[in-house]
Amino acid sequence: MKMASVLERNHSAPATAAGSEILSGDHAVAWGALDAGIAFASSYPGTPATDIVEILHRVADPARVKVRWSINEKVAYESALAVAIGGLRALAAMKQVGLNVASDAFLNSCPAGINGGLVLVVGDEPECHSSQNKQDTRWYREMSGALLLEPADSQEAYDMARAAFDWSERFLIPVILRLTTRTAYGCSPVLRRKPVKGPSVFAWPKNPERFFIVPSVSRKLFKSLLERQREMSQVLEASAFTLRKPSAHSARRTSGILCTGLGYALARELAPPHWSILKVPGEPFPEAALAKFVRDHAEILVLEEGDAFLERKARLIASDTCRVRGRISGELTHFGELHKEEIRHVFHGAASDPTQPPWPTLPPRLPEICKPCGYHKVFEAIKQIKDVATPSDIGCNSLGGLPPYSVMDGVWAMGSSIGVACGLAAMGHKRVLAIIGDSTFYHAGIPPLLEAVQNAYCMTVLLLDNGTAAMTGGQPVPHKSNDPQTSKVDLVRLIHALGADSCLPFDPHVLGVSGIRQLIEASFERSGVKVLLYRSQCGLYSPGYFPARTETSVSA
Amino acid sequence: MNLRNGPMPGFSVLLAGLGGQGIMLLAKVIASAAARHFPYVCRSEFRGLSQRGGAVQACVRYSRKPITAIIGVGEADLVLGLDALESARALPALKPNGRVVSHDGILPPHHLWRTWQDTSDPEYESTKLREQTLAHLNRISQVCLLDAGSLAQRLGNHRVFNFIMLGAASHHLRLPAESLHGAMGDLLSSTLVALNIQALKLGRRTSHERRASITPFPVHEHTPWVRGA
Repeated sequence: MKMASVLERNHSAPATAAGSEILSGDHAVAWGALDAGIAFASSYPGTPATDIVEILHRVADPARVKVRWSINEKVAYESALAVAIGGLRALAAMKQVGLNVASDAFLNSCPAGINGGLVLVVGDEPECHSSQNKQDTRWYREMSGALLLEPADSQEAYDMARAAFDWSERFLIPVILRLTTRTAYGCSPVLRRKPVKGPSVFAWPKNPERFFIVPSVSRKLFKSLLERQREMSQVLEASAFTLRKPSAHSARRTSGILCTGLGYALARELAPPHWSILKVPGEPFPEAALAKFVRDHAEILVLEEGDAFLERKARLIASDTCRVRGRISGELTHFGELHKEEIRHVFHGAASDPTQPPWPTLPPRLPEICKPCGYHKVFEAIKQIKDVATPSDIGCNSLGGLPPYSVMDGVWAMGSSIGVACGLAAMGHKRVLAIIGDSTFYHAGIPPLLEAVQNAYCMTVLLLDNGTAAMTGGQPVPHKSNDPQTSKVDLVRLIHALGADSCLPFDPHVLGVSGIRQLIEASFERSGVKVLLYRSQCGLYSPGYFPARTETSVSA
Repeated sequence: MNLRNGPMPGFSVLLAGLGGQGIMLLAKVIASAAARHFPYVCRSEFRGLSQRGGAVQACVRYSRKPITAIIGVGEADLVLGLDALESARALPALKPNGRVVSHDGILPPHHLWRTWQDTSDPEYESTKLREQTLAHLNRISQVCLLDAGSLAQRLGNHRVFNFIMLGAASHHLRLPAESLHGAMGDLLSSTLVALNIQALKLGRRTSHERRASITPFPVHEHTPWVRGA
């Protein structure tokens, strides 16, 4: 049934068949997971993977599926892992840099594996649209030995999400579903199939020979994991997700396209008929199948989003008889997304129409902090402070690094503002101001704050509490859970409990620019770890949490 | 142009504007209307930092062959712009014979406005930037510029701005107007359908009267491909 639908879609049947909906890849994955009978889904928000759990929150029946915004990606993954070890189906979703945070748990969970299906959806950003890194999740798959699937469009995202749970249970291993920006946000028709119920009994196993991974256990598990690789690659190759399109000219089998994910969608749209196609649906893909394709052609073009992953493999196989074209050969840009113009150039030679008039240079539209936001006052105040080191963090506060303020020295990873501040303080810098948002603080800011307290470092932490994860669309933070009655987190008490020498809450609209500047300046005069706690509601999300201010103070 | 006279392989619309103008909804309406006639319909959803002053682009593509939701350089048949500056920014995507239908006003980028406030007269600079932008757009042979803002005022609701622009562009989408109306009926809440269809018609009529130098694409013959067949 599944095989038939995939093959028909790619080769004959109209895509907008009756009953189909035009959905984004994220949306399709959410539906695929629901229709596969998941019992649990968790995520930390991050473009381009935020929408998956957003949608599940909206459409899943809370009695059947528990959906969570987690503290960070590691906890999101670990929670899903526990559910899957207990035999139910679970999904964890995150952006590619989120997997760095979850990678410790992920890589170490693969050898022992799971019982119920566990699917880890990762959104890669080859062009860094909303990320600081272009990293390619396929390298994590090489390290982990897990199965990885990469859809070409929304229908395949749906079908692969469903197949991923089956394969996860068959091989007792997590399955990575790799989306890239374009497949996550591109919308194309999706035909849903009949949902399955999925396993229904949660039973936590007492099986330390498998899950208590001390070295003696690990060695056995790795052996078994390596043994499964071969069977995984065979199942992947035999699946309907692997496609081979022969050249339209049987005599001319000289040119072939080796592609995966969006690369296949682009090949399908742009390739002249005499190019044959091998679509690789994921990893591990049999070396022998790649080798045969490479041997059968005089030249191959490799189309893949992200790093030159398949291209490297093809180059290792190719001898002098096959020319491998792609990013390493320099014909496609080595960094970023696939560009249609470059692909066309490989197919047709000539560049795009030279008769176009020269395009005007236009003033850019830079992203900015929303007008009524209290961050304006904070950044203006920092701008007026001289000789200050300002390590900043991920989220809306990073907009302070852009004009008109440009007050941030740097931004690295989640929570790094305080970690970097620790190093600065250790070197004796007297005016260190770490700037971090509330959601990022919970995510990865607590351990470095403890480090600062433990070493009695002298630093000021400007903790910007706007009551939400604003940059990613207003997801909840712990001190304002979906149900305020049940939220037990008190941010001020938490900071005191961590041992900070002081925690000074302030309202930026009451204090104003000069007040904030004086507050920061005064904090540099004192020793120890000083937390200045900005408290002001984000204007876009979470209305009604902080005490309402009058209109005048907002616009002032 | 219908199938017999030569098949139209595909059609690409690039929508450009600013956050909050309702571009995503327009893209959904066009895609839904196109799905009544074309077997392959794709749409992109790029929101980015739209809520923080950034630009927004969306694209809709419909075709008889498999396609992606990506419009490359020189691939757009139509640029539908809700801000003239963003329309001009989208020009590299336009085909050599492509059409541009755009609102004729601009919202200057915030950082420029601030600089102007410090150094010069913002109103004057803003008008100058608008004129430069419109000059760029007027170099395209098939361009239709109109003031959707004042047309929306005529209907007493500035929020129908986006559907006025869709109406103005509707001659060039190669889709029957009834399909757009049907799609709006499916996607808008029932209380808003009538007003927005009125806006669509006003935009359509205005750009038709205006004519400018722009030749509409011929509308596709009805249902060459039957839904669900």
